[in-house]
Amino acid sequence: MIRVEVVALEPGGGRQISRQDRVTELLRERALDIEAAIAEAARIAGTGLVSSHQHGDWQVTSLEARFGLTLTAEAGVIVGKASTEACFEITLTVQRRE
Amino acid sequence: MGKQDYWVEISFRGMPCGAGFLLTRRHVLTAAHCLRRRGVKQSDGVVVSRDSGQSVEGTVLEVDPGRDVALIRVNAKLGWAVQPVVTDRGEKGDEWMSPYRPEPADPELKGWVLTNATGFESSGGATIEALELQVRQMLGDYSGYSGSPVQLERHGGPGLGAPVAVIGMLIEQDLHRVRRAEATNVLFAITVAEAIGAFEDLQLPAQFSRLGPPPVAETVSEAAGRHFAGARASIAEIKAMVDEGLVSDMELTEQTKALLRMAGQRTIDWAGGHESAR
Repeated sequence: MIRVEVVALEPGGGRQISRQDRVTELLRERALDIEAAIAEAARIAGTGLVSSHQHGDWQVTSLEARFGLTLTAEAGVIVGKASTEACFEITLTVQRRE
Repeated sequence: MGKQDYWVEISFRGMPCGAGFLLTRRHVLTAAHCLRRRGVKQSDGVVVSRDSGQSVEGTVLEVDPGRDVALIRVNAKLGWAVQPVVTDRGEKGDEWMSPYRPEPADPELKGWVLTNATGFESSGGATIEALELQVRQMLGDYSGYSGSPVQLERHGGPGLGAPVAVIGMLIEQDLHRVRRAEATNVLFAITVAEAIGAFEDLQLPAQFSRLGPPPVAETVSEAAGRHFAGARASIAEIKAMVDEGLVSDMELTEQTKALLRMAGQRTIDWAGGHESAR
């Protein structure tokens, strides 16, 4: 049984200083959220690759996307993917066409 | 840990909510967001505990999410003596401390008042009167301290059991502008006057009703009257504790002396401040 830590989103974005308990949920119960976030991130990265694939003599030959996921919860209720945080790190390899 | 703490911890269904403090022996003030985080609503039952483990049941009377304050009624007689509280207005340069620690290993916060009470937009959405406090301990995150009373620091004062001057209640931290997940060493405390103003029907002793801004043209004798009225109200509270067998006559005498000394000192400080302002 694998558990995953989730964070509560608070009004004021962390200004209020009540207790911050570590809350975990079963990973399998958040599987759909995680899959949806990965699919959305992959779609965005792929769309970006297509639109920047070729510029004159230069072309993008590879793209590496790294991102993290933070699962959120509020009073034990899953907030949903709209509030899921994702931080992108994109690495492009650009080569001159021969 | 004094034997007559006035600050408490509030819990709901066995889970700690946060700090609070006894305005009177029947009323506890705390931060509304401490209760909201546990799903506590008006009329819910909570447990009010002191650090030594003694506890009493309470009921949430009113919640003001905008001001971020909540009032809890204590349902039975407290089984312990409460350190008398004198409320005061903190001023820029005052030294402050907060006696509540979220966990035993957490530090007791101390520092200086940075500004006189001023308008502050709380996360709850209301513009409230609050004190901006510099804190000495650089923790990076002050979670767990909400609801803690802020009292004036006393150096070489009358000692354990003597009255404390409470100027506010901790509610928020200032976040670093670049590293948003990190707090600066500035905290915000709602003033006692603003907090109790949220509860119009609350009947409080005289020292609380005199927390409005002092008249601009107040004379020394009027200021003395204001300070000594607060002391007399606190003495009356302690006398009630004597009747309940919680405080001895000797303690009453000592605390009466301390309260009168404090009222005298506050009058002298007031006069000195007005003299230097001229």
